[in-house]
Amino acid sequence: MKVPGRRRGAEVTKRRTLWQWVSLVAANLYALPVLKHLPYPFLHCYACPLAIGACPVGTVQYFLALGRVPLFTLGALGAIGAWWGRRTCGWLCPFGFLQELGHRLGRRLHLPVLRVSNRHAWTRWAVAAVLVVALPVALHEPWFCKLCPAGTLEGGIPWLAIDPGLRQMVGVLFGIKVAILLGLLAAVLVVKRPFCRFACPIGLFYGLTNRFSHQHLQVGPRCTGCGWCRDLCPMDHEVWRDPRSSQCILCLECTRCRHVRLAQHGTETGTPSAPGHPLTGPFRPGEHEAPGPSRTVR
Amino acid sequence: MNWRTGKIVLILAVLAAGLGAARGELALIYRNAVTLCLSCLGLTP
Ligand code: SF4
Ligand code: SF4
Ligand code: SF4
Repeated sequence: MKVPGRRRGAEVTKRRTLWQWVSLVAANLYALPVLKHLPYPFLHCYACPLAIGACPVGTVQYFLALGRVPLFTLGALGAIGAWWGRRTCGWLCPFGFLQELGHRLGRRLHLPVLRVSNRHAWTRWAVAAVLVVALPVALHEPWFCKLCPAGTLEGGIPWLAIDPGLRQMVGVLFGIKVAILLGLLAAVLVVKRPFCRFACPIGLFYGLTNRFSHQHLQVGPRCTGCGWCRDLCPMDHEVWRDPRSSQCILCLECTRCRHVRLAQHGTETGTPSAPGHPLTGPFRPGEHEAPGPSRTVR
Repeated sequence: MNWRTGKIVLILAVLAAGLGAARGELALIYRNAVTLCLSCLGLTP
């Protein structure tokens, strides 16, 4: 049944998946290690044998363990967040992409979707405060890295495969790391992006910038709160309740509904920054009629 | 909060990044990134 206000097709998904593949390949162009002077704008382990950049979380912990403030890393990520909000999570991060692929596999296998509320996202604060800040400052060791599932998948396992000499060094901590990774891989089959929503310090950092970023979402006044966008959303977010939520990764999946659009500074006044562009243009009056009564959501 | 706040954050962030680069942080980032930390990977003898 055609419901007014809904766009058919998933051009956004296709475009985003292409960006995610390109980013995955670009982040692992071993031939360009000189870029290891710079942090990636997302979580990607610099212990990965193919990595070309530095992991921002690992870098922050390293600086804190040395008793220094990581000005460059925080500044670079802050600048990216101020412009794009959390968009790199939605379009570029390989570990976020992996979780989405896992969830798509779960859909293919007809597994149920376990809805875990974003109300529990406070866990990100606990992870960041304890593992990224407090323990590295107090014990001078990067404790997030010691448990990080991205590090296990991208660094630990590949190095064990490449270098047989390392295998005799596998200990209890490696077993814990593998258990965390396996738990996460099982969870992504039924839960949308669990690591991004409840654990990742970079997502937490970028999420704060969503409140004032240049690019952000807007929900039109005719939204009925039908919840279709939540089904589309890889973060299980109800965009009509809070278009600038820290949980939104600006993936734009929900812009398949005509009531949601990507806005940039200037578009609020009705002046689209990219005239004719379906995602940045104004709400379209003719296609804007929703089934059910209209109400103001903001 | 709005884009006015965002602009201030953007300027401060760029200044912080510039200051960090001037203090030689890029070399530290590189040194850390090319050093394989085995204990972080859970590999201890
Ligand atoms: S282990 Fe995780 S946090 Fe540490 S450097 Fe690797 S990806 Fe980054
Ligand atoms: S929140 Fe998810 S997508 Fe964003 S950096 Fe962390 S792992 Fe990547
Ligand atoms: S609210 Fe929309 S843009 Fe934000 S993460 Fe969900 S689907 Fe993507």
